Amino acid sequence: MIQKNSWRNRSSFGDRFFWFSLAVIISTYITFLVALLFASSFHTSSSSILRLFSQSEIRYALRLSLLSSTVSTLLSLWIAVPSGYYLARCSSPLLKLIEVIMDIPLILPPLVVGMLLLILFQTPPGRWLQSHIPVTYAIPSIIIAQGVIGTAYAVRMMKDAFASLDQREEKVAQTLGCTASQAFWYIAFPAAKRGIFSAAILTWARCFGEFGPILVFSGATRLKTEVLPTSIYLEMSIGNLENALAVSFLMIGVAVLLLLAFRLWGESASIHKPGTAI
Amino acid sequence: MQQGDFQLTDLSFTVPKHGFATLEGPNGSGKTTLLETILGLHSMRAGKIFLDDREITLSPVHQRNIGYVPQQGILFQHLKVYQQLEIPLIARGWHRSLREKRCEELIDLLRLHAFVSAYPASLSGGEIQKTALARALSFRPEYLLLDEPTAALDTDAKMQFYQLLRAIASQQSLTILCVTHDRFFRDQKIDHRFRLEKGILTLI
Amino acid sequence: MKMNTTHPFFAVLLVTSIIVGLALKLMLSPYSKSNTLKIYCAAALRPPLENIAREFESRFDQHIEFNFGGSQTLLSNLETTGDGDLFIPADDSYLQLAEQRKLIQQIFPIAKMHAVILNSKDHPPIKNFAELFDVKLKLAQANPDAAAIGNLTRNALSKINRWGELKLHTEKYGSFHATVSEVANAVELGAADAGIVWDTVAFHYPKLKISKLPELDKIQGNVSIAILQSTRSAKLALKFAFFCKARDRGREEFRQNGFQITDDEVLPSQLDR
Repeated sequence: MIQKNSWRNRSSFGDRFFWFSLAVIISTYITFLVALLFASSFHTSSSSILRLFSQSEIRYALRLSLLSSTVSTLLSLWIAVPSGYYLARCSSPLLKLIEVIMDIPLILPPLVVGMLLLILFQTPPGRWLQSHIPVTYAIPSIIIAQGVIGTAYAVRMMKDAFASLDQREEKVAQTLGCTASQAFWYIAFPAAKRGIFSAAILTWARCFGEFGPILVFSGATRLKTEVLPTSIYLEMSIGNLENALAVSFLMIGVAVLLLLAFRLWGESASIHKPGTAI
Repeated sequence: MQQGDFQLTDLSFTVPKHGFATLEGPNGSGKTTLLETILGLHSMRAGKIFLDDREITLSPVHQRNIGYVPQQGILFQHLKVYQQLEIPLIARGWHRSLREKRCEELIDLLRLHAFVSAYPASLSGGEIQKTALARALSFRPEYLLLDEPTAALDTDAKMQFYQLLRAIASQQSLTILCVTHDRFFRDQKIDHRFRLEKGILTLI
Repeated sequence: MKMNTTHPFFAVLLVTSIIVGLALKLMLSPYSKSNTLKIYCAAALRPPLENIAREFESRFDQHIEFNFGGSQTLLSNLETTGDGDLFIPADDSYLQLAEQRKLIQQIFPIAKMHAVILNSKDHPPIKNFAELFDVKLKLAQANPDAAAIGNLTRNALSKINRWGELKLHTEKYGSFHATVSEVANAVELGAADAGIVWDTVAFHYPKLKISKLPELDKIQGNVSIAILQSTRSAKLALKFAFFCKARDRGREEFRQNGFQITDDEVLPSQLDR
């Protein structure tokens, strides 16, 4: 295995120029992101962020956002891991078509996704389901709205994760007596742990920030279907930019802290094993 | 049979029971494809495969019970050496205590003590081959297929591996088919030598 | 070192179900269903109505559930669900639509709004209508097909033959927005120099200057509260509507939020009928 800096002392000017230009590009982009937050920070204050916690509506929205995106992420992975494995391992003439269909939620404008969901749940089967569990304008609708978009993301990532694994390992496992299902659970699944982990993180972040379909499909009922993006919308629609930005910074803070903690935990908890693909 | 852009047709050969056979031939002659077909990893258009008098032509891969040491070992990158040996036994539903006993046997037999808890990424070529061999033998198969087992080894290691293989083969009365184009095997006393070239299989 | 022999599937299933179960329990716990008054309310009217609702809740021990959103969204919401007690859109035009669809029992006007110019702090306040045509002026307007104020502006200015001109000017130098609050936000952030907004919207931007132009004076919107056909408790819905109009309750709240109150009023005594 090549060590990261084993060639450093021999790097030529051209090599250094190459790495330097990459560093310039990444730092320009980071400067841009920091500037985004910095410019907005003048329109709000830390005291208005702290004040948010005194509002029961915001506390509820924060809790609902965290919980619903966690549930949606887990449910998304339950669909994305098997689908991704199927797409990576099976050859079918319909594969391209299947992939395009699974990408539909990413192509559509978010509001349209919400509208389509709303319509689906007003059809006779949808109404029948709703006579048992209320979905539209209730909490399940938030999970469905986040899940639809989250799954589309996760499927793509899981397909790439499995495709980057050496398929020969699963074949060998089969010669050793593993059924296809055992080869998946004992070989491919643990080997893709890091890929599943990254997919979970990105899907969670995506669900946490989801708004368009939620507004249409779940409404904005306070203390019921209000997630943090909804709170931002509600503040913006009465022109309270200060509060809207305060909620935005709260979202950024919470998400960054959680994702960072999750990644650090992942590093320590043997997610990285030598030679693990990706 | 067909694989990629070449076909193997009208091949017929028999490896006598408890024998040690090699299959030689130039690169791209279809040696590996032949091996993988016996294992069930490729489908056949026509023909039959027998282990003794049991026909396995249509058996699923995992029910064929043929030990297989693939080229370059193909160890499971996320598992330690010890765990590699356990996989075939877990797949067969062996009880924990039986598994432990079998793994200890294999470690002694193939002298894996020094690196049982290492990951494959840190093993040398010889260690990888020995682990792959131990893994293939763990479920006590009667037949063993090897694909270029000596390709990544130096001369000493080749001899060591070969002697180990022969010792185990005679001790456990294995039937072995070894695909190779390594000159090393020409100097050894092999029971049966086959040669595959341009789609024609001959006994040398 | 030895393999953990629990099948990974069961481990994954267990972990997932524990987390999902816990999360669902936590999410569903604050659900209160009994005897709730459901109100669909334009997001722009949230501040006075939340205050009124809070007082109503404490006085009559009654739970109120608000669904906030754009008036058009709310209209399709209440139409699809066929549920809810009261509808308070940002202006009367949505009530007409709702009436056409036979969704409404009764309407109570609450307050009036007038169109004004909201000026950015980087730009000297507009003094007369002609200044709106200044080449350097970036004027923000609400879309006439999407927002009531845009629609009413188009009608009013078409009568004095100035609409076509202003529309072209806005398209060329300024911007059209989907909602009136986006117009106001554009002005506050300085992305636009001036915008045509309701005085009640401008009220939320105390730091910005307002210009009243005679040409815009006729542009007037009404805020009304409507009792829906779908209400399960017409009596309670009526009580809330009266509460909104009561002199010392709702009216005062609306006035404090920059609304001009309609003349008719409900006396406190009527509330307790």
